Amino acid sequence: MNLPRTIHELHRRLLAEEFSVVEYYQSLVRQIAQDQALNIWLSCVDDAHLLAQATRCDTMLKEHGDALFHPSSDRYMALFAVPVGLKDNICMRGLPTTAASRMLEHYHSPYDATVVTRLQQAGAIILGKLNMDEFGMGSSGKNSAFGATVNPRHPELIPGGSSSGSAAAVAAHHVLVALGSDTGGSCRQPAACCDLVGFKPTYGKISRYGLIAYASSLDCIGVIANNSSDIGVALDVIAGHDPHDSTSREDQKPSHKAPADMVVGVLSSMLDWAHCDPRISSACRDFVRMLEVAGVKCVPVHLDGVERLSSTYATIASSEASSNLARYTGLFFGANSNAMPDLDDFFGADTDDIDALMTEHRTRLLGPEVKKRILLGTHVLSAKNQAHYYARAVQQQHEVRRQFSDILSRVDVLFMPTMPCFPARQDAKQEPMLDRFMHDVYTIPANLTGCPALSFPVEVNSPHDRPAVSAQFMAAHAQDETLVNFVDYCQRLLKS
Amino acid sequence: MTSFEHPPYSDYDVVIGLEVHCQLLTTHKLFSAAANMTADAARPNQHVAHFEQALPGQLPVLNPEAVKLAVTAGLALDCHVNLTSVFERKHYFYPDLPKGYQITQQARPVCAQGQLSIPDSNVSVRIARIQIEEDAAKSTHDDRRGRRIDLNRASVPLIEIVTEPDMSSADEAVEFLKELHLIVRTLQVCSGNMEDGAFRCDANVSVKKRGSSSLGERCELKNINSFKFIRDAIEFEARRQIDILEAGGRITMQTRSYDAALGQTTLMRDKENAPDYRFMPEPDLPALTLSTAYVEELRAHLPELPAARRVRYVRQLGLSHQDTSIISSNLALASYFDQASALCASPQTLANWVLNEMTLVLSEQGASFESCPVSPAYMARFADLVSEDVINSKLAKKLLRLMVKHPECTPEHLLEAHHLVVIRDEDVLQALVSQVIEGNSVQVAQYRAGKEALLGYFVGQLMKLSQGKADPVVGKALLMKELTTLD
Repeated sequence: MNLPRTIHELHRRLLAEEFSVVEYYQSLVRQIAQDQALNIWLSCVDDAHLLAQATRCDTMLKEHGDALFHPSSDRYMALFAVPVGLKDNICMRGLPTTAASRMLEHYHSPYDATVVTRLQQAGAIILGKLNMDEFGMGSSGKNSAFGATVNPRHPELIPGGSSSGSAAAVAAHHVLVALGSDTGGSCRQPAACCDLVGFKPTYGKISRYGLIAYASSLDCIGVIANNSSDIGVALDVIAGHDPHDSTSREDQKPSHKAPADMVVGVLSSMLDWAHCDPRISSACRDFVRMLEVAGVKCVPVHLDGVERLSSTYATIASSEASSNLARYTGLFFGANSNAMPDLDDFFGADTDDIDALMTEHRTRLLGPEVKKRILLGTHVLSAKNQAHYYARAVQQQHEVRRQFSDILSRVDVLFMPTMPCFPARQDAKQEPMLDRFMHDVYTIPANLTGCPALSFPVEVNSPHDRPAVSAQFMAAHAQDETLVNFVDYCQRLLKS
Repeated sequence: MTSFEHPPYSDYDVVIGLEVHCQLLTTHKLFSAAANMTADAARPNQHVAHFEQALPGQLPVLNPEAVKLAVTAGLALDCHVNLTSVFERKHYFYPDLPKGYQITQQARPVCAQGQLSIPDSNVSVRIARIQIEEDAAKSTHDDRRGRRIDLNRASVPLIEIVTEPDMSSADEAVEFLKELHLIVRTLQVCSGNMEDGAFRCDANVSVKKRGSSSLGERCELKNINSFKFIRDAIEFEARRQIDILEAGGRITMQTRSYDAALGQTTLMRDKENAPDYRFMPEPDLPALTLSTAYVEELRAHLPELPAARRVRYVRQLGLSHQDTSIISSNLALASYFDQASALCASPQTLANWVLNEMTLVLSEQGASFESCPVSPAYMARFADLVSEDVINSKLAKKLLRLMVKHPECTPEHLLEAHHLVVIRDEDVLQALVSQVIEGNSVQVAQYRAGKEALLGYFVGQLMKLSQGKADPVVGKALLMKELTTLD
């Protein structure tokens, strides 16, 4: 079967009875089995269960027909029969949730994340849990306790991360939509490495309830798909206020501005940044010219302190990580303990040296990148260093917010590359930590400011040995849908 | 404090500040829907949500009930309410804290800058801050199964009330705590149960040479859970510090615990081993914002506080200071008394009977004013009967016991039914007086010979003859008339 590439295509072909939902899922299962070596999935729903869901879909399709696909119908299911994958830091009952860490190797969540419930209510079929960099820390897909993820489009290059499996699963056509998480670019960057569209919403737009925290004030559940229209469909399903997440936003109407009337701010400080690969800046400039030719108003805007972005991010993210990961002591759940926390036998240590026990667990079960960030966070948060590092980073974050909010009051969307360089080779030696943080300078602002950002390939006719250059648009808070519509417009421009 | 009256102890000032933790009487825990039922829990880990287990992906949702109780306490303690306050994480690794951090308020607590006067003194203690925070789990040790963790107490809502170092003796500290204890129970913010740790206290103690303006290095005494232990712990600690200084030593900042069995404080950790809590803003909770209207609404609904109640008892009801202090320090009694006195014309009489005979009867029955069989309304009528001399005190004691036995009957009904009315009828009394005179001829002769002190004896005989019902005033007058006019 020639697998469908978009939700729209899937629904059209199902309605045309080109294949049944069961046949579709049989093909997906076969494809996933064939691609085992790509190490995309950490756990999958078993075939029988999957095919039972597919059979139910076929019955519904027979009964309700195209009523399922009409938003005005009360049978409407936006994600009817859509295969979806979850980054393994999103909790779902029935499968392990490991965050790609030995620490949670056998952990089963007793509850579903809000996004899981919403996906299922909209008809999506969740195939399983996707590989990632441990606890969302990293941008290579190599920091997984369960092995590196392979980039299906460019196997010799890294797939990016930390939502490496999410990007790879969409790129390998295992799913149409994958949820990831984006703390400093973790959805947009792997999407760019795999020629896909990666979305980071406004902070609080999508509930974090059930997302394993890395840096709570920056973490967002994000979406990776083949095009921005599918991002829009998924966003509509999973976004919205959730009483379980106190930082979740009240629903807010975006401004419905026609794409052609939008004013694009081109972030010259990013394009001209010395560390940006010239092929990337030139592809970005070509794209801006294409927009101008199409009649979109593009104006250059400037940002100070690009270099400070990554240290600001590293300080805040690692501080919060050191706090969020303090619960992983191996005493209560995961690790050596039972898969599920057992309240009747909640905790029983046969030693009085609890410190030694926790230290042993954390030393053995957390990966090197995770340990590095915990140490860094612990250091910058400590009483004697806090004022020098953490407080200054927060101050710097306020400055970044002020600048971006100023810029976004003058333009509708802000344009910049997604990455300053192309993905490294899978077999390359890992660069030093600070250099790696520098690769995130383009994606970090959306996290530091809480703004939505959408990354997509902007380069036409790219060479085969690397992914196409991706760039991203950022918009003001709550303008997620505006952003999706605008990128949809851009993608259609690129095609024509 | 006898020992502090003599040198070298009398050469020093003791400086005390307190940190009081009160578990809030909410239905649910601070951040989840689990029940807040620490005391009643049938078994460990019964009232635990995923949040308290620190399961991955869990997020706190602030319980508005806890905020309401915290602000109520703040208003009662004359605090400034911060319309915007923030939550922070305080980190330490211990199995009683599965998240690895406690959610608390550090930089900007919900209330600050209050004060509370210690009753019957001119000492006013400044309240530095009141912060909302979560309790830790309970770590216990079981011989068979080793160390156990009970999460029933995890994330039970607390307020921590922090005072300035404004107390100068253990007695003052205890009086302050008792008043605070009374206030939080009056507000129904906290059960006040000290044995269960619902109300517990840390004390910061330092000493300095009398009159010196610079504070000494302080030691913190942790988790003391009775008024007696607080007094003993502070006194021990102050003496320990003075002894060190007198011996030429220096006080170093320490955290100490009080061992009630030994009657002394012992070192837990010193400054070098002080944990680094790495305070950080709680990213999972937005700032807590309150409206002025919300605060004013709570202020308007504050109940009468103990200090106001005491003023009312003295000024409006004319009660003695002693009675006022006894009644107002017992909430059940005060509530009973308030209900009764509202219906009673003679509050002091009411107070006398409630504090003496009623208290005695209740203690004989092992009951308290929470379950007093006599309704406040009947108690009020009883006091009026006494104060109007319808009944004398001897009969009143009988009547009160009858009222306890027959709570459904009005005092008037019992009075009639048991013939407890005072005999005032002069004809009836005259007949009784005549009997007394006739039956005591020897004493009558003595009286008439000038031994007037015998009058009391005749009154006693009259009361005996009338089974205590004779009006003593009228009876005495008739007796005197009879004794002086006859023969």
